[in-house]
Amino acid sequence: MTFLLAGLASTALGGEVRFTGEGHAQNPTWSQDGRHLAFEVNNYSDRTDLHVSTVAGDIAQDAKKVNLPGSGPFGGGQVLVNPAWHPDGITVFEGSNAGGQFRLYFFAPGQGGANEMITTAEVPGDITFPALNRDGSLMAFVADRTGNGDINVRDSNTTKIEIKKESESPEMFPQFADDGSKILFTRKQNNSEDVFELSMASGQESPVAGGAHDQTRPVYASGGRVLFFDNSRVSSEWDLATVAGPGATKKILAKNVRLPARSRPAVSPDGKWVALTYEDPTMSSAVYLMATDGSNTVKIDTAYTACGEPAVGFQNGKPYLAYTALPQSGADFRKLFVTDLAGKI
Amino acid sequence: MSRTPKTLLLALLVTASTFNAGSAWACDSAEQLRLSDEIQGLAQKNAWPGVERKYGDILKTKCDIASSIQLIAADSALNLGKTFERWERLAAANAVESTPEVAEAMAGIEAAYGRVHVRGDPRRRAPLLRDTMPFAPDQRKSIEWAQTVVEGTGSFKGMLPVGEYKVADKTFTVTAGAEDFMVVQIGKASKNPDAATREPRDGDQPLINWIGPVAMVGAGFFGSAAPGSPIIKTKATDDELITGPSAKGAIGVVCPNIDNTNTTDPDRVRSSEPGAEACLPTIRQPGSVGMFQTPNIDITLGGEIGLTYRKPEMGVVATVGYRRMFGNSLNQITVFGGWMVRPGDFRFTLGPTWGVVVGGGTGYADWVDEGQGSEYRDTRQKTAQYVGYGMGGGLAGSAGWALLDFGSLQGIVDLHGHWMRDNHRNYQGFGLRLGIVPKVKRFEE
Repeated sequence: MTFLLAGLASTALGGEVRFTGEGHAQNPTWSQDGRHLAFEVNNYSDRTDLHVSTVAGDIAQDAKKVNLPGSGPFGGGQVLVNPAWHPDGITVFEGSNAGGQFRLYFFAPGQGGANEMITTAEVPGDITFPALNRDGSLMAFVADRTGNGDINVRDSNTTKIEIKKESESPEMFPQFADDGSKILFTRKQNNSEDVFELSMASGQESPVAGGAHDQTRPVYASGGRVLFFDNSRVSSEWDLATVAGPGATKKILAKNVRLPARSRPAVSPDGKWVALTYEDPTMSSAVYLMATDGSNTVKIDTAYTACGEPAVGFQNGKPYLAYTALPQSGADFRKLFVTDLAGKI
Repeated sequence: MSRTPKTLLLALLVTASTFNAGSAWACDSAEQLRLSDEIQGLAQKNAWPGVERKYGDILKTKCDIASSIQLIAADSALNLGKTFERWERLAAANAVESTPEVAEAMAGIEAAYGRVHVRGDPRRRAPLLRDTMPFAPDQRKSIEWAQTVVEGTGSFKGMLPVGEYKVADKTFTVTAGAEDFMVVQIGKASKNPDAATREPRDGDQPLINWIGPVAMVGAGFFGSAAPGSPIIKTKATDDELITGPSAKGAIGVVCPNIDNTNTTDPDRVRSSEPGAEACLPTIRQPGSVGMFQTPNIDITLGGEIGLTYRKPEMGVVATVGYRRMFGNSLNQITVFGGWMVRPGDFRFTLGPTWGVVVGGGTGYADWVDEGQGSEYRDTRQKTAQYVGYGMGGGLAGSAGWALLDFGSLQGIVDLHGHWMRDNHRNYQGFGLRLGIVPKVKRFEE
């Protein structure tokens, strides 16, 4: 791989996003307007909390922990993960209390606590993987009411919920195209996870990427391109791969990347860039921004180590990078940082 | 026991009883505890309409309500879309026990909702509209609740998510944070939402709000005092209460100047002595029918029509009633038509009545043989049977309380009174009835 440096690589002046409690920060997710950052804090013991910070420029306010309704501020055993943002500044996420079912909840910063998004009367069982289209008119999620994970879609205006894709194998990771006309998703069958695309209009599915082992966590980029993580090359290593469209030839953008705990490839909101980090310790103090067609790469150096979990957001048209890292080698927990990307992409 | 401890014990007992009496009137704590348990149980089942009902009941206990109950009630309001009620209950909880979570929830409401009072006409209920529903389910429920209230009453006072709305011919924008209610006064709703410039048509609601039967049965008391003064029969055609084959002319006389030698009984021979004071014949009148000596059974049948929509709902009622008096064999048949008002579960009626009393009894009015010489007095005065009728108009009214629901009807307990008068005497009575009346169709918030 080659790097084309856009200007001098410089040490990023990252701002830490502080939060209460202890654990590893992971899966930062920008709101569509770039003013809020939701992220998980996993103590790798009994809970994973969701925190939301309000961001002005690269200055992040101390994050506020989100609690499930009825759990109280010290609710133990909570797992709140996978935030997705609606354009109205509302985040939808999966939540579970102490080993209970996973349900979808919503939270709006500054408007009180979290509340249930979909009732058990509407959809029983576990519901996970919330995903919204650009204008928020549609929300996809995975429900196991038929016994396997199926792709469901909820119309935000009518609240009508429809099963869009079901099969005997579990479907996962739904992701809308910006206009909501298509959904990417994966299906695990025969111990292999493959990527598919579903037409909302016809209900027809098209294979996008497959092969040995797993192709997972697909996301749309500009021009209809699809990016995903792929371990077909070496089962113990993950690569960042792309196809120009369903059925197109797969291209490896980056090898042996650091697989995020839960996130998809960190594609920028305009679909032109993807942020990634590497497993290689010699490269782990930087975050790399790559054009989604692989034509360009920018290195963002940081003052920290073991960088991971990158996410790119836009605030008033200006790009910002969120990422996690160990403040120093040997630190107990990964922290979350925000840095300004102006002039770099 | 010495006097001092006795006195002290007495003082303590009086104080305790006074305290208990005062507390009993101020707070039904046993009921409050029971309802609190029920509220918690219903909340665990997510039975929010039940929680609302029990919360309404617990407010009536006039007890201080625990913060935990207020928070459950706030959750209930959240699940039902009653945002303003949710805010109020959070505020009540905060007043009992201030916590950051409650304060945050209240601040969250203030940040996303505004206070609105849509003042409409219950007879003309225009829909509350919003182009695009919010994504957040709680905001959506809030709008749906307001739409339900407007549909049911024509008006709404509460909180709505920020945004633009339309009701009837008014478009208004709700903004967050204002402490006062934004008043939206709407006029008559046009059935054609596009005809903004046309004159609105008459009412979305029908002329008749409700119509249904009235049926009652009960018991009461009936009385009719004999006229206090003799009623002189001035011409042969004067009405007499008593008619029939046993009635022959005037039965009694009244003599202004008592002179035993000159009194005559018109039933016998009138004195022709010049200068003799002639006695004047009186018409027959039954004696007094004592009110509490004459119980009666009362049957009423009819119907009522509700004509208004604004509270308290009003309309008209028309009934036919029958009373049978015991002790005497008197019967009264009345027709009643009047105004009816139905505030809450109460029912009040008032209006004119017209009736006829028919039957018989024993004993005439005391003055029937007034002034008669003892040898001429009609010994039948106190024992004579009479048969006859009287008819006339009057006034009747009632006050009732509808206690039970039977679908479109309600069971009612009714206290009523009535008065009528024929040419010579009054007839009045009162009683208690049980019956059924139509249930007023109301939107239950």
